[in-house]
Amino acid sequence: MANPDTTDTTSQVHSYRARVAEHGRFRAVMESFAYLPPFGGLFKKTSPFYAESYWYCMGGITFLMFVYLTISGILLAWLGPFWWLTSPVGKALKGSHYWAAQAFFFFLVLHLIRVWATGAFRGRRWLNWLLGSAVLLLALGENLFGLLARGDWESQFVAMHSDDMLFTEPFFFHLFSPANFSADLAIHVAVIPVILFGLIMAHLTLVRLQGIARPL
Amino acid sequence: MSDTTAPPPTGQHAATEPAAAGLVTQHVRHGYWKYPIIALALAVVLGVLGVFAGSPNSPRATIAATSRQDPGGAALAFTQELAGTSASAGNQKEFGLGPPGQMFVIGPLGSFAPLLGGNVAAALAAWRAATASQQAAWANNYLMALGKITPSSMEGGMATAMSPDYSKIGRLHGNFGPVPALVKADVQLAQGGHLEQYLEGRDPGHTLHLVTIWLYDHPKMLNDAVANGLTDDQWGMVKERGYPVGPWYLIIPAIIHVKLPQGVTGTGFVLWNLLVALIFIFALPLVPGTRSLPRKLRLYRGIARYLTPGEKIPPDPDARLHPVLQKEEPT
Repeated sequence: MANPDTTDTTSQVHSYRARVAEHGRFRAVMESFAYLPPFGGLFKKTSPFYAESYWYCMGGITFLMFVYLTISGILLAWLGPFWWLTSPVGKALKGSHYWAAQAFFFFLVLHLIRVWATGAFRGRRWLNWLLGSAVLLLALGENLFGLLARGDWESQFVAMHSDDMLFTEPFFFHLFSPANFSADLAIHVAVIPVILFGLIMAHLTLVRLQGIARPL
Repeated sequence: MSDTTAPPPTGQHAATEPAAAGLVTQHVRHGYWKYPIIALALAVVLGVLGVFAGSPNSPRATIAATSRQDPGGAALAFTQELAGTSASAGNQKEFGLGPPGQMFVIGPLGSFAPLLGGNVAAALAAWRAATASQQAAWANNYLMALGKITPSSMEGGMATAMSPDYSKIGRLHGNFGPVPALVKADVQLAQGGHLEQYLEGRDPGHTLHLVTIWLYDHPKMLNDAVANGLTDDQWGMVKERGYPVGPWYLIIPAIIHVKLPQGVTGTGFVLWNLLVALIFIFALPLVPGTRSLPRKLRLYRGIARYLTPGEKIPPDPDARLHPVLQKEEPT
């Protein structure tokens, strides 16, 4: 297919027609989200052959879980604690939000193993290791506030029992109490996710700039 | 990608000149077509788990229900609050709570006094007229007397706080001052749900704040947690009530708390976790020796994609581009 005598523009190489010719219509349609505006510009179209294994998708799936958590979280926050604690639909959505959080950490750990085992933390990429670590640590905090923001017995107990362990006296200048459901919910919904999103975007931007590391 | 820092790859060189250990560095069109399928499959799995497995959802405790189920525990909590020995007394500065005896006993009784009858108003007046040392003496005397009608914990049982037998509370005699009348009236307020309303109204915008603090003064909450294996020394950080899958990813922070001698709480806990984070962030990727572990273990052999026998590498679509537009090969 590559012809050294002729050169195409990027839009021709990655056009729908060219992709259909390469892999058929099904694949071309399925991958269209990565090529069409407005999001197509975010995605790099090619990757090294060595990175075409599912291990290299774990970070992407972790981000997918973040997106799922955001969508389900907005719905939950919109309809409120009474709804998610009592309505069957609310309980189911809360359940899938919970499992998405479990999946987020599961895939994050797999991504971490991949990055470590392929030595992708070396050199300048250490900065991205740092950003990824910050995402992990902050996500643990987000998880704790999610537990406190559930509004059930567990939230009450953990708010009090973990207090001496996690929210020691000098913390938050005595202004914050984990027993304060309103603050827990606000922090879980409106504070930490925004910071997490910023960190994840910076993490992805560095991946684009630095490329996918060659395994050791 | 920076397009100018390295010479562009020349067509299919990686296919004809495989790198060491067979690593193929040539670019291919990334398999984005799999992503919607993975996303949909995961969404379905999460939806099914949400419906059929659900998530932990034990109904929250209320002051009314707790005080009806265990009025003796409520009486104990109120007495400890008046004596300044309750769990909340240790946190009053942290929570901005003020003296728990005032917040949970004297304040609400004063507010409801016109509805509670003359003896409560008289008891309140007697309490307020007394010196602080007299108040403490009354409350401590009553606390000791409550201990006499408290069953001892079961042999071999866990160290849970037992509640006094409320049916025997009228038989206690001693120099208690107005404390029994105050406690009895407050138990009635609690059982009727009025105390919870008072506390929520007292602290608007801080939903459940004072309510939860009081519930932790009552022995029932901790006893329920112990019975379900949820306290921190029972690995409670990675478990949830009535639910097998908990926050398993907290095992590493929990090890530090559960397994170190005497446990580690407060600032120590935070510092230990910061140490783990520093090891993770700095020692693992930067220190000579540890940073070379992945190379020695060669786990990447099972992670990166290699050519299988007979497999052909698809052409790099970008190879059709003008050299200026072609990307560098990652190194």
